Amino acid sequence: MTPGPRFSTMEIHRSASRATGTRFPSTTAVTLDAPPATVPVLRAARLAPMHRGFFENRRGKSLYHALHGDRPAPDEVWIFCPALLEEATFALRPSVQLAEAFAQDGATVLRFDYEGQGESEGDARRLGVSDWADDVTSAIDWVRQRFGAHVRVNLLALRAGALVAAEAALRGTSPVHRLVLLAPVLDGAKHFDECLRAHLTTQLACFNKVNEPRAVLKEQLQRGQFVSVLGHDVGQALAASLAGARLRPLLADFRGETDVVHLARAAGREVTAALADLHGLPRVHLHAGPPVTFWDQSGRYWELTADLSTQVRQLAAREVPPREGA
Amino acid sequence: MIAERPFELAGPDRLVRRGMLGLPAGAVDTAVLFLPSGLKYRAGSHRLNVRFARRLNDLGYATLRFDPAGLGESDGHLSAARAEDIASQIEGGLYIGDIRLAVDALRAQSGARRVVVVGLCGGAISAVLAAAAATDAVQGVISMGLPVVPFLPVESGAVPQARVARRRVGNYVRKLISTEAWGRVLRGESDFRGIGRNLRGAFAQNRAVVSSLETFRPDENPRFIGSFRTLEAARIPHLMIFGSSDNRWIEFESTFLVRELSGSMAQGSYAIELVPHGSHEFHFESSKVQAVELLEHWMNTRFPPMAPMTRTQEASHDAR
Repeated sequence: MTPGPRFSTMEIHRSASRATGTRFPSTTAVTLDAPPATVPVLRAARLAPMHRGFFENRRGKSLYHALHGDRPAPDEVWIFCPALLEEATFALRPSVQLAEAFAQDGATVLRFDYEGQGESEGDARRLGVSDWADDVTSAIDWVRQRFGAHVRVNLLALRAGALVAAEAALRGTSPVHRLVLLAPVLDGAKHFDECLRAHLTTQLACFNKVNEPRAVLKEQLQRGQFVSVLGHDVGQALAASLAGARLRPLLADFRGETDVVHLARAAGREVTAALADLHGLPRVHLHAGPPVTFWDQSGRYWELTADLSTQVRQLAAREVPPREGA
Repeated sequence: MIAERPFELAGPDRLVRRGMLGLPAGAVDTAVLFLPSGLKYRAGSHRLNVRFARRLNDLGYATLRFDPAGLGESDGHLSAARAEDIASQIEGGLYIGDIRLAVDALRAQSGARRVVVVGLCGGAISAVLAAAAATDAVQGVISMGLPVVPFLPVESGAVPQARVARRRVGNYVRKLISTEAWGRVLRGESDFRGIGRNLRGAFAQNRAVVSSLETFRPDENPRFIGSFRTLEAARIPHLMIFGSSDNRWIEFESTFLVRELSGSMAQGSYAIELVPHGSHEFHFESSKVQAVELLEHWMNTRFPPMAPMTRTQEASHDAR
């Protein structure tokens, strides 16, 4: 019998509510309003020291990284796999804050940029999902070189980074213990279509009309030309790899536990539909997160919110069984 | 391999600001400080700062991509607020002190004699304000997509400049065929007050251009105007780059360029360059290439890099 979806939405919400005093929606869809019209205040919050630098991936490119946590010999390390393209730019600050929160709980976290993204070396135009999954493997190797081969590695990924992380967990040469996926992209093809829509919007802004509709952009990619997605030039390598990327089969074959957190501006009843593609998968746990997005130009400024931080840290602290076959 | 290294700087408040320092091979005469655009981090929109900085490193300039407190990887926490409220704070000079700290540290760590500050959007206005507050420390400014008209708080009831408002209303009309846009309307997610302001602005009479330099109007940022004049008085070179399709350009052209600069694209120490069909963040590759060329040409002209090193100098540099 196929197991039914395992939602722990309200449990998570209740426990987060206890921790933060935040009231969560129960069963109805709710939209969180923009923050109040107040004068923003810069508070003197200090981050714990982070060790930053570059390590080399298997293609010889320098990847930027930051290591959070002060344990000299951790048993477990979380590697954060960022979103792709401009979503990673918007999400940088909340990712730093989440890594900091993990470190305050005693965890060790490695954040890094894929080749050709963020502050890493390289040109993203000829790279795709499998190249960046290979970068995740390089990050795992770097962690094990630094802390020892015994270290258990978990991946926490955002948006399309979930496809990258799941591919690395499934096909990479270094074992991954478990996955936590925030607002994951379930269907790479749909996601890339959204990326092309951003191109159309930019055309409208620049030329007051669409000179190159989506079909033309796809032809350009197939001819080996590059297309701008919110300023990031991408090529056929990314288009083709996203077109064939779906999260469900990757998670179905992954032998470890996966927690998936749905995030959107409106939370509540749409969760079931939003994550429908992942229903029925063994070892996959679906959760509704608070109504917050921080990876796009929403016109609202979101740092990492306390409720999301609490929820993700609770998931990370959850005891999970060892990987099947490990 | 990348010739960059992490940079840290503790302010008098003991908060650590972080960045990425790029040093070219050889002695450095000019260093360039890159600021984040608005609320993004030091890599810049679609890593524009990374691209610019690495190109300048190749040409012999030192660079620092810098996160002021509360942004990127730096200490400090900005409380949750509307983007427009935070933008107002930035346009009011929130990061002037942090930029001065970074300028001094960059000069000390690179050995450069001169420092140029570069920014886009919120980074551009921060660069102008900070340079004007430190004319002894900053020798040049490059501002891209410079916002001279402040964010209009909803509470003010003010309407945007007519040409900008009409352009926005045109965008609304185009969105009438979008199911996604209608979905946002039906879910109550659209910025109805903003739409209302733009409609009022679009159909209002254009306000008369007044030549008085003493009178500031709601669509002018007085801190910018004072700072611009200070840079001119101190003869600090200032390159302004706009995309011709950027609303910031339309605002700049309709207000400041007409009223204060008599429409002149270059005069005194400033120069204004346009990237044809460029967006606010220079999204298309052709726009980026043109922006890089403009920046490079201006740097070469105003702040020529030192002559390439001899082999002996290189060996001495490597030994440092």
